[in-house]
Amino acid sequence: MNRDQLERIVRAACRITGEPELLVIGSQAILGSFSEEELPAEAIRSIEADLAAFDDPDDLKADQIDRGIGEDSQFHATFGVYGQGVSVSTAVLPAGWRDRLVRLDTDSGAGLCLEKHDLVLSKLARGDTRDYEYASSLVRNRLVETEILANRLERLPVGALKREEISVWLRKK
Amino acid sequence: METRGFLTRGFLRTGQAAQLLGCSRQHVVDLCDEGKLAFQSTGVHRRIRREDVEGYRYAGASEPRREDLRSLWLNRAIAGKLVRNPDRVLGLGRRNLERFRKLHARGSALRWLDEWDEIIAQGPEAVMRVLVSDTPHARDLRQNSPFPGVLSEHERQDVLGAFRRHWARRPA
Repeated sequence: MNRDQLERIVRAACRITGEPELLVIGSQAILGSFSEEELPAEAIRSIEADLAAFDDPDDLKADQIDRGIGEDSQFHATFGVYGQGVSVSTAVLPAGWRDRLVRLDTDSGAGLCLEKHDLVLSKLARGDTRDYEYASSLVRNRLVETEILANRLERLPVGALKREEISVWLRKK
Repeated sequence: METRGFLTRGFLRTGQAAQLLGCSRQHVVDLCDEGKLAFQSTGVHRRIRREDVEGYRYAGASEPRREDLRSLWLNRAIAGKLVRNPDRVLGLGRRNLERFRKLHARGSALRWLDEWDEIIAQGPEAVMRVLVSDTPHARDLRQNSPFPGVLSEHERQDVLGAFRRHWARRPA
């Protein structure tokens, strides 16, 4: 996915939900910090963007996004990309993440994208093979700093074993 | 299918998968035949993605995410269309892939499109396995699905509504 495609998704999702701002989490959030030309191929690997409303306790807005522009929708068929409605609680994030969001403005509302280090830590917290590949590609291309990741790791709400696993991974980079 | 391509693309032989799982090779073969482990066939041998073996190994460690289960429901509905009219569904998939290649000229989304090309070329059984399997790799493939348009909008909304009601009734 490229930034134009993400903006199209954010614009449509804001119109559908009536929300002026939506959180962009997941892999495509990196497009808030970098254009696609600056990113390795592994970082722009999906055709879907995860979007969450900040106040959505019953997932009503997440479902609105899915109904309107979600997987297998006409939007997906036409543009080859789609939005996926998720919950804010989907990602495990370090304390203070809301203050570091990166704004992606459209004419119908804004996508607030996870800051790049917060995004990488959320991937490492999830920790499957694909998440480590994603994180590695950003570290390898010096698009995130391991020192910032290590410092912010202390504020990531994960158990001791997971924290140690991430710490070991960072030390090897 | 070229064996070398499998082995250099993160695929395991059944014996290797058995070592990873700590079980017999026959058990791995049984898991494949029962549909619990996705595999691709070279004609004689089964080849299994490392990610899927790891996914099986850790299955049940955590609840599926709501959005992953929702996607699975949609794809089960597509599978229902596939068994009724495989030529139509696979034809639509091929046409979508051709269009999507132009929309994703860069990025590793192309990798998924290439893989879907291979799977569709193998026929409806191979597509079915991806649509209904709960392995990590199948989930990735479904996220990059070439099958929008298989379900009518009405059918799609029915599935999403049914899923919402199902999710709401899950025990807390």
